[in-house]
Amino acid sequence: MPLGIPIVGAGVISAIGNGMHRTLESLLEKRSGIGPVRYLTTEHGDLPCGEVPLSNAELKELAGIPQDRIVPRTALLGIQALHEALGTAGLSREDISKAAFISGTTVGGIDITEDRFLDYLSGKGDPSLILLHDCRGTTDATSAPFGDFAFSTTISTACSSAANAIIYGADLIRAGLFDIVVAGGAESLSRYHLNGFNSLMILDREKCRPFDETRNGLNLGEGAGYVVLESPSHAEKRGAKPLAFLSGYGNACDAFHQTASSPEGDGAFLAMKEALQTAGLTPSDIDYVNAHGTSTPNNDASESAALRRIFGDNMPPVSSTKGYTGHTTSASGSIEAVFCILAMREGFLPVNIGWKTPFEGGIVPVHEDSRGVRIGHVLCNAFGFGGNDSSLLLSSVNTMK
Amino acid sequence: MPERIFIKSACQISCQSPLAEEWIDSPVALSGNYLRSQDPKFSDFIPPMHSRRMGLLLKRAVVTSEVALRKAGITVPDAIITGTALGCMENTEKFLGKICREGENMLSPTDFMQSTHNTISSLIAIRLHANGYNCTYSHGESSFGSALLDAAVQMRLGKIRNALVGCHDETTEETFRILTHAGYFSEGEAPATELSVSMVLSTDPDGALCELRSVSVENSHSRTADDVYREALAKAGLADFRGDVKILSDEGFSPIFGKNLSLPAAEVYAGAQMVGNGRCSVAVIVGGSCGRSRTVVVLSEKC
Repeated sequence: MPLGIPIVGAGVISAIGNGMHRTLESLLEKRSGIGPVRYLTTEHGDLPCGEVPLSNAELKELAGIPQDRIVPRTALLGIQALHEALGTAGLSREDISKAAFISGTTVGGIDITEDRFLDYLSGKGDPSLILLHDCRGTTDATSAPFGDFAFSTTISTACSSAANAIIYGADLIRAGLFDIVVAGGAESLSRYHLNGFNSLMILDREKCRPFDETRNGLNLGEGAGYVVLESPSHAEKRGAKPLAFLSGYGNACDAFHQTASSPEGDGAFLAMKEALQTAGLTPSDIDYVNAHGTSTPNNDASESAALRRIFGDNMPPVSSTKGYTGHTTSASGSIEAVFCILAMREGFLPVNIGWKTPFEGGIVPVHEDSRGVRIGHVLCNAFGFGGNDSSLLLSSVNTMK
Repeated sequence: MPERIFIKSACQISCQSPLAEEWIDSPVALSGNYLRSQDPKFSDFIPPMHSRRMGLLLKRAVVTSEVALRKAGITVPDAIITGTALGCMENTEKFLGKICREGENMLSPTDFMQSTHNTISSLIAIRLHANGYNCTYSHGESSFGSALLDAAVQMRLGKIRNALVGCHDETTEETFRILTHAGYFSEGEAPATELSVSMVLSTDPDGALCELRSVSVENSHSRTADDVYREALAKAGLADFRGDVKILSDEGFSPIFGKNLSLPAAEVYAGAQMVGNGRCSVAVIVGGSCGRSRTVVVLSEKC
């Protein structure tokens, strides 16, 4: 079966909005969601983050979950995005019972555990909450309000988790195992990984500036994104209208270092190359790249090198949207895939906010407004610790007519 | 499509003798309620310079992976696909314990780096210089089933010719205490254990232990074990098979490998070894059935 898998539904939540409508407004108005944290309890309140401006109580109210029930924030964010994705796809409970749910997360329910860890060790506290700790607990809590999927699993490849969930979902459809797969990822802020990134000294105390000469680290973010993939024949039979198509993808391993990228961006290069190959496209077909662009000195240099290896002197418009949302880690691949769908449908290139000055060897990102642009094919990159590098190739509905 | 898939090699580190199949004829009888694994001499496999900064689970994963690859005659696999329900808990607990006890300053990154679930798959890739497909599944007792299904899908789509597939979970003292508090481990049941299992899948039958006829992971619990078993054989094209079929279940294998979220991986490993040694012609594994999803795998002799 050739690629060109219809994306018939999408949902997103991040620091710049709950839902595709608010997200689009923020992207068009270049409104960043990064600022001081309000809900995360941490000694590092001075570190700016892209926190979703909703408390757990407000998220529960939106989802109709009783206030006394304890649910990981990752799942509370996931529920919002999943609700929108299933709604736009028009899936019934019957459809869901035959579909697969592939979710990416790394943090899982550690926000619940980090408040109670010492209690658990001394045999105190509600023991049932321990079962919310692992990644699976979060995935199940995310899908629970919507019914039972036929198959669920969780991918945990750090910051490329959601992108790899979409790739696995597409492969399940291509192999004929499922007609509908809901795939993406969710991740909330936690003290655990804020401190992890802080101990690696890759967090900026200012707002991040992807691809800028003065970039000095990332800001953590949170959120969730899901897409509904459907086999072409099933989508047609159901009368589902595609929002876009997934026409290629690549998963490669940098195999260089546990937390650093290779200088020439080997993994990133291989992932983008495979995405182009599977789509049967050439670099000149690409109209926009949503870069991983975390704003760490290492990532942006390595990714620029990889982009040059793919595109040479004919660099398409490239931007990182981390300046809007912060780095939403495991969820970034699917959140940014939804951004790409919005960009293709609305015909605009997201401006790389925070950027002023190029660095030697660095790409010059999109820095001016552009509307009415015809965007046919985009690459959306997501790279994770351990060199888990993935790239999605998304195409507008017009390219498939 | 569909390409035939074979299990070339499979090995384990568990409460039984490591990297060996002695458990088939003379299993170590399990006693007590908590058993750590019998580790091999790691320095026989990993230079101390390299293993110095690896946690116990990483060492086990590296050893089972590299032994499985050597037995399969493969240096660099096309794909590395790993399951781990909880990841490197030793490191997670250290980092979390420090935050909870000492606050959010003066933390060193090593434990954090090793606590992300994908650290196992990526460390193996770094050691082997393997730039191919690399993925990690963390989904309770179906972590391994998800990884195995992914490998089978990649092969059936013709994307890869071989894959290193593993599943690794450790039970530290703290994990044991917490999961006992949560009711996952309990007295009178099989003891809490640890498991590290690696196997090599290939489209090449030469020297293989067995053929992987089908793999599925499902959430539904409404069907009876008998239905699951019959459907699995039908799916594997063995509905009319009248030979020697063994059913491998959690009930049968927890007395040998204990209770652990990676148990389905041990069951598939055991099935592959039993078919490979001629103990049965077909093995049907129904793993993780006491949890929220089950992994159903059918293995047969190569034919």
